[in-house]
Amino acid sequence: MNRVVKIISLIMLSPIIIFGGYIICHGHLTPGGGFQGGVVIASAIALLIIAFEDKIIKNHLFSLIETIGLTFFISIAFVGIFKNTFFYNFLSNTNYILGKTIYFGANSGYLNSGGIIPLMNLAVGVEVASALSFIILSIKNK
Amino acid sequence: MRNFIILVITIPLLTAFLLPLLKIFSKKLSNFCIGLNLILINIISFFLYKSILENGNIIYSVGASAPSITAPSGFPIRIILTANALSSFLAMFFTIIASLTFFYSLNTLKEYANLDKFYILYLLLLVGILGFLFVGDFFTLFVFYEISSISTAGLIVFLRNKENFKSTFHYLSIFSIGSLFLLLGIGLLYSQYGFLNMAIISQKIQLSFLDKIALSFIGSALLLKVGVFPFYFWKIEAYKVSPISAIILSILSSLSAIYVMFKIVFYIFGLNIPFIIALTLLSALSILFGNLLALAQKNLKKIIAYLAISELGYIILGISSGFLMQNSKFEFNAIKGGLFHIINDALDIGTLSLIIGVILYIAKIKNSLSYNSVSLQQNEIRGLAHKYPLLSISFLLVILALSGLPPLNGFASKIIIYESIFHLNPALTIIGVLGSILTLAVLIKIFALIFLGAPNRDYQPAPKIAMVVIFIFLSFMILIGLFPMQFTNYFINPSVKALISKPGYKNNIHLQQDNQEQNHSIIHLTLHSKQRYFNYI
Repeated sequence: MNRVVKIISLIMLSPIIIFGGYIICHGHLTPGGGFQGGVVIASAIALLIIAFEDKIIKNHLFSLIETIGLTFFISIAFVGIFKNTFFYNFLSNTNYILGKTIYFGANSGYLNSGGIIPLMNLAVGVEVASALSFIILSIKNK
Repeated sequence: MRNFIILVITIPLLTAFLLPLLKIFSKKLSNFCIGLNLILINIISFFLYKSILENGNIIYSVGASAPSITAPSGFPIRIILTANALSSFLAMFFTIIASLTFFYSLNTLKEYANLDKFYILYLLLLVGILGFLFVGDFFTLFVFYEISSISTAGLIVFLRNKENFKSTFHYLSIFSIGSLFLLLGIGLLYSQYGFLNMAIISQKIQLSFLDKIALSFIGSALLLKVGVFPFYFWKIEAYKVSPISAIILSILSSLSAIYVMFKIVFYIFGLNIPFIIALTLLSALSILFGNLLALAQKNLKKIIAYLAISELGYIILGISSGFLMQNSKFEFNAIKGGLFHIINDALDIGTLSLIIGVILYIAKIKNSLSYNSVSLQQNEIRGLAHKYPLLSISFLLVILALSGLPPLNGFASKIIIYESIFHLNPALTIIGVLGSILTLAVLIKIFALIFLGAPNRDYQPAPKIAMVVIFIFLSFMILIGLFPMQFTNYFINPSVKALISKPGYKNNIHLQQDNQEQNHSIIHLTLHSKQRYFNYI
């Protein structure tokens, strides 16, 4: 690609990734979540792949990150077994990390709440972003 | 103890996700982990079965300490898993077969590349099978249906020939329609009752016309998964090209789909008689067609597929005719025969496909594509009985078992089915016996063409672990065949009682209804707070 595309894509890279990160982090408060934010981040990586046609990024790096995201997701669910049951939300209402007790009624949304749901969103976001980038990269390399 | 039911499903899932990480360290480590995982879930499912026999059924809700503790509005919207004697026994049996098949495929598949991906899909398909057995609400049913369909597609494409891609496309296009049918049926139920939980729907259902449409959608999607007479085409395409261990797991997924189908028809739709009559007819037709079409085939893997279809016909014939003879003394026996035949079908067809896998291995026929050019009539493989006497003896035993001859396990279950369905309609018994005779003809033909005669070329030595696995399967078959009374008393009778009696989560529904009344105040509160919220804006 020519220089204009390269520079514009580099400029747009950080806003897109930050927006994707915002959607992932606010998954438990606003519409959106891990999957949607992951897709936004993957679109930034797709932009990079199209603009810089060199094979800088290796396929197996993405599959490794994807595996880490999946393993993180299911291991959080497994930690719940030691507390109560599988997928038990052991962090909520502890008034510690991600555990702010929310009282009944309207509020403007606390980021420090939701227990394990934000962590799950993060894991799904990592997984979806790397999996979609993997798919795009393997389509391009064909 | 309570968490065993979820551990059986999730330990293979965790292992499947960990495999790409383990592969970085060493290939042997990842194989060791899969073996350890399979042995672990064998032990867990055994203790699950034992605890269910002692303490009764288990209802497990994911994410809450009790199923009655539900969402703030009081609806049972959590993922709910249920286990009774039948489903936990099937889980125990299926995990044993899946782990033995894994050790078999370690021995015979080792020359292929990308084996780690094969085992990831293998474990995911096992997750789908076990999830089908324990599923307690419709949404989870849909999720496990998708998991097992997609991972089966991955297993079919594994050998990566041109034919594999063709078959996988065929399979995926059929199953995308099938899963949409399932979703449509579930959506019809959900739009009427507002619940996805099977226990709640079974209480609220009014059996209206729309419910019958929903039953036909869900039933046809599940029959597609089972693969009986009009829905069997994907099975031939898929089995033709996939490795032997994938074929065995696919048979197990069909068997677990039979269990889910009867659970839905019996528990939720309260024995819809026209559907069960249709099932009886379809199963009789699949016995006839499966065997007749198997006679005409030359490809060994296609023969496995057709014989598997006819054996599935026997199972469904037994169970559905048992439901048709409700409140008579033959009901128990017919269902007992059908459920007993689930075990025997998995063992017999499993052993047949294991032996055929060994035959393809020792004849150096590596992939399925080259095998399609080898037909039985060209006598490519001949005279194996001279060099492999143990293999030929085990093949003879499989012939006896599959065609239902006395000293082996196939006889024990088929005789129960024949005797009990005779009281429904003698024609069904005639079809069943005719099917057995045709099975005998198919297998005798294979035996004569492959094992007899003079050997025509050099063959590899037989893989040792694979032979040990075949002998373990055979010893199960002989033990069940010699002591069928003891086996049915210990394992099958509790399962039949579990299928006939309504599931134990009835008490639990009352709990949930009490909870609903309590939570009514909470719903009120939420409405109130919404009002306040609007005022606030």
